[in-house]
Amino acid sequence: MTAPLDADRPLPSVLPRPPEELRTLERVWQAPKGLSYITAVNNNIIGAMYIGTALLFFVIAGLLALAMRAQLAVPENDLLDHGTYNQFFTVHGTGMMFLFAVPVVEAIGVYLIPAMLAARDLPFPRLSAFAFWAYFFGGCAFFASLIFDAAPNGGWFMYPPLTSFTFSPGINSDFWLLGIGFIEISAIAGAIEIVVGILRTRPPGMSLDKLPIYCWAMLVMAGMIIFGFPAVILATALLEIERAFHWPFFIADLGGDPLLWQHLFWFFGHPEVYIIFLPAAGMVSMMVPAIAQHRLVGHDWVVLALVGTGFFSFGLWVHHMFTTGIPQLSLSFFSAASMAVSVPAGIQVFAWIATLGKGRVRWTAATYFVLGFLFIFVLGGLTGVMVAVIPFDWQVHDSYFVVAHLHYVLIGGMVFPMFAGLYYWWPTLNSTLLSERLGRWAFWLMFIGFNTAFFPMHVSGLLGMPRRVYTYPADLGWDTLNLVSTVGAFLLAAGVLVVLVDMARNAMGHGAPASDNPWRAGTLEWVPNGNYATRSIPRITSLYPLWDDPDLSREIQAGGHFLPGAPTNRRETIVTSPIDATPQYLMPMPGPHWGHVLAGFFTAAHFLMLTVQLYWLSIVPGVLAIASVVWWVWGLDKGEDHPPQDIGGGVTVPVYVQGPRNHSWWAVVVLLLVDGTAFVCLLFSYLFLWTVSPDVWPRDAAALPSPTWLAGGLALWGLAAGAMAWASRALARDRSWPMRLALLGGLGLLIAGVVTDATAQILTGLKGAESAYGAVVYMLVAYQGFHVAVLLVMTLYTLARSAFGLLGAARRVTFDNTMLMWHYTCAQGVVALLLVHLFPRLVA
Amino acid sequence: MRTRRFPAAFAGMMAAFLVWAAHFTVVYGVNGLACARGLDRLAVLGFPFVPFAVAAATAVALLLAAGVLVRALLGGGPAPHAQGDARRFLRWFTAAAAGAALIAILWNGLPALQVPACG
Repeated sequence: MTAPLDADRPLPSVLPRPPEELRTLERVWQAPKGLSYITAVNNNIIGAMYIGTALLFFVIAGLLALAMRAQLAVPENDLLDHGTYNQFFTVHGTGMMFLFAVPVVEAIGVYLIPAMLAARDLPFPRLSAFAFWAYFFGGCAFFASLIFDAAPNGGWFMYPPLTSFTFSPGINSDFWLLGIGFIEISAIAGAIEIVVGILRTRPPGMSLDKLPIYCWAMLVMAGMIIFGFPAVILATALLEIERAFHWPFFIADLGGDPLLWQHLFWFFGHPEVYIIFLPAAGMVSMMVPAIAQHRLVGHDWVVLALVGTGFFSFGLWVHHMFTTGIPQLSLSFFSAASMAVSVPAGIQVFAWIATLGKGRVRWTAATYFVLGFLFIFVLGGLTGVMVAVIPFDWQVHDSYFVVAHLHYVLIGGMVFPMFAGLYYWWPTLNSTLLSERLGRWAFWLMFIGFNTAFFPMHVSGLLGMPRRVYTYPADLGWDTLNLVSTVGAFLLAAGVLVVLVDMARNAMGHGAPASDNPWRAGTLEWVPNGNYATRSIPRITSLYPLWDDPDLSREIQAGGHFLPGAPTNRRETIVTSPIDATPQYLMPMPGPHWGHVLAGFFTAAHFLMLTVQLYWLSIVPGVLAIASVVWWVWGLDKGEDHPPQDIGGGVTVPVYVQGPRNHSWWAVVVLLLVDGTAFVCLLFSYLFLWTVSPDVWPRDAAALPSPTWLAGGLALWGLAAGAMAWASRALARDRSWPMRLALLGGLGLLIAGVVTDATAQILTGLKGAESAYGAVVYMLVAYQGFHVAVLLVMTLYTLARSAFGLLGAARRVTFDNTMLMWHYTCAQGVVALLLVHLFPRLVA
Repeated sequence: MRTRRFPAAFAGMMAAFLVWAAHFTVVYGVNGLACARGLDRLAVLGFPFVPFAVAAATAVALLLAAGVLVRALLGGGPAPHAQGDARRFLRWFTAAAAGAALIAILWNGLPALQVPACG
C-alpha cells in the first residue's frame, strides 16, 4: 500500500490540483488523429518514429553486409559481381554511419532528453520533426538508388580522384554527395535542438553539477557535430562543384590535392566515431547505476572524460592518413593524440566496472548487453591503440585488421549499448517490458555471432587480406577465416532478428506490464508521463532525485511542483538559466503543423532532382520547401501576448523575452558556430592548397584585382553592417519605416558587396576551372553569395512581418535572428576579402 | 547567473582544453609548412627550427594551462559565475581539465624531441 503524501511538506504548487487543470494540459498536448498524426511534433512521437526509421535503415544496411559476407564465404565466388559489391559496401558503410548511427543517437536524444529534464518538449519541436522527415524521405531515396543501379560505389569516404568526374562520370557519386550532404542538415538541426534543450530547458535547481550524465554526453556530442560536420559538408560541396563545373580542388595537375578531401573528411570522420560512441557511453552511464543500484562512481571524472574526449577527438584525424606521405613528425603528433584519447575512455570503463563492483548487479537483458559492450569495446579500444602506432598502422592499413577494429569499436561501442537501451527504456514507450527470455537469446546470438564474425578478420588482415575486395583466390590461406566470419555474421543477424521479433510481439500486445519504475532507477525519465511529459516540473536537488526523495515521483504526478497546468492555454515549458537553472520565462511551444512535414519532403525532392540532374525542375521543390518553412515559422514569434504567469513556488515569469536570453537567439548563435566552422574549413582549404601548390598562385600583384576593389568591397560590407545597426536602433524606437528602409538599403549593399567581389576577380581573367587558385577564390565568393541569398529570404520575411504589424520594439525576436546572421555575413565578407586580396600580395 | 555571462563561464571551464587545441593546431601547422617550404633546414639560436618552434609553443601552452589551473584553485575562473554546488563543480572541472590539458600538451609536444621533422 502506498503511503499518502506528506500534507505539511511545502511544495511549489498546492495540492490537490483542480481537475480541469489536467484536462487542459492533456488537451493542449494531444497528438493529432488520423492522417494528421504525421504532423505531430511531440518528442515522444517524433523520437519513436525517428528511432524506428533508424532501425529500419540499420536492418537494410545489415542485409547488404550479409550479402557481402555470403559473397566472401568462399574464394572466387560469383554471387555478386564487383560493381554490385562496390555499391553494396559503399551503401552499407554510408548507411550505417550516416543513416543509422548518427540519426539513431540523436533520435534517442530527442526521445529521452526532455524526459530526463522533465521538460515538456525540446525547445524547437517542429525543427526536430523537420529533421526527422527530411531524414526519412532522403534516406529512403538513398537506399532506393540501389534498385536503379545508381547507388554510390566509391566507398563510404568517397576519396577523389576515384569519385571525381573522370573516374566516376555517372550519378552514383552524386547520390552520396547530395543525398548525404543534405541529410547532414538533419544532424545539425538535431544538434541545435539538443544544445539549447539541455542548456535552457532544465528543471529549476538542476544546475550543471546535477545534469544527468547522458545529457552531458549528448551535449558533448552536439558540440562535436557543430564543429565536425561543417568540414564534411564543405568537402561534399567542393567535390560536387568539381564534378559539376570541373573546378579542380582535388586535381593535382591543376594545383588541387586529393589529400584536401581526406583532411576535410577525416576532420569530421574521426570525431564522428565519438559522435556515435559518446551518446552510447552516456546511456551506459545511466543504465549501470540502475543495474547496480549504486550511484555512478566518479561521476565528475566521467563528465571530464566526456568533455576531454570531445576535444581530443579533433586531434586524431590524420591517423586515417598515416600512409599518405605526411611528414613524420606531423604523424607523430596525431599518433600521440590517438593514444591519449584512450585515457578518458579508460576512465569511463573503470567507472562502470567500479559501479558494478560496488553495487548489487541485477541480471537482466540490458545487463548482458552492457557487459557485452564492455568486453567488445575494450578489445576494439586496444586494437585502436595498436593502429595508433605508426609502423604497425603501415602494416595493417587498408586490411581486414582495420575492418575488425572499426567494427569492434562501432558495434561494441554503439550497437550493443543501443540494444541495452532498447530493453532498458522500452517501458517508457508503452509501459510494458520486452521479453527477458528473448532478450537473452538475442544477446548470446549477437555476442557469439559478432566475435565469430569479426575476430577472425584481425587474422585475415594480418595475413594480408585487403579491404573492399569482392573476391579472393583460394591459395592465400584466407578461406577458412572468411567462412567462419560469414557464419558469425549470420549468427549476429539472427540475434538482431530475435530483437525484432520481440518488438513485434510486444507491439501486438504480448508484452508483460511494467511498473512505473521497473529498474528502480533514480532519474526523472522514470516518472510516469504523457504527451505533456511529466504532470509538473520538479525542483531538483540531487543527481538521482528519485532515490534521494522517494515521494518526488508521486508529488510530480499529483501536480505539486512547477507548472502543473497550461496557464496560457497552450503548449509551453519553463526556460531556465544555463548554469544554475533558475526559471527565466515561459516559452510558448508550437504544436502540430503540415509546414515542417512538407518542408522535409520538398527539401528531399529538391536535392533528389539535383542528383538526377533535373537542375531547373529542382527549383520548384526548392521554392516550395522555403515556402513551407515560412508557413511553419510564421506564427512562432508571438510577442508578450499574456501577462507574466505564476508557475508555482511564488515564482512569476514572463511569457516572452528578447535578446540573448531568448532560446531562439541561442539557436541562431549555435547555427552561426556551424557556419563559422565551415568558413574556417574553407579558409583552411585556401591555405592548404597554397601550401601544396604555390605555383598556381599569382606571382605578382598585377594579376590581382587592384586595391580599389578591396577598398570598395570593405566599404560595402561595412556600410551593410551599419545599415543593420541603424535598422535595429530604429526598431528599438518603434520607427517602422526607417527600419524597413534601412533593411532594404542594407540588402542592396549586401548584394552589391557580392557583385563587387565577384566582378573584381572576373575582370582579372581568373577562371574557376583553370587552377585550384581560381577554384578556391571563386568558392569564397560563392560561399558569401550563398549567405547573401539566405539573408535575402530572411530580410524579406522580416519585412513581411513588419508589414503585417508583427514586429516592433517589444516583439523583435525575428528581427534579432536576421540581425545576427547579417552581422556574421558582413564579418565573413571582410575576412574573405582580406584573404583573397592581401594574402597573394604577401606571398608573391 | 545571468544568461549573458554564460559564454564567459563556459569558455572559462573549457579554457585549458582550448589551449590544448590551439597548441595542437600551431605545432601541426608549423611542421606542415616547414616541410612544404624547406624551413626545417633553418636554425634558431643554434637549434633546428621545427623542434625549437614546437618547444616554444609547448612552453607557452603549458604556462597558459598552468595559469588556468592556478586561477581555478584560487577560486577564480568561471566559478564566481555560479552558486552553491554548481560553483564547486565549475571550480573542480576547470582545474581538472587544466590538469588533463597540461599532460596532453606535454605529451603532444614530446615527439618533436625524438622524431625528425620531415623524415
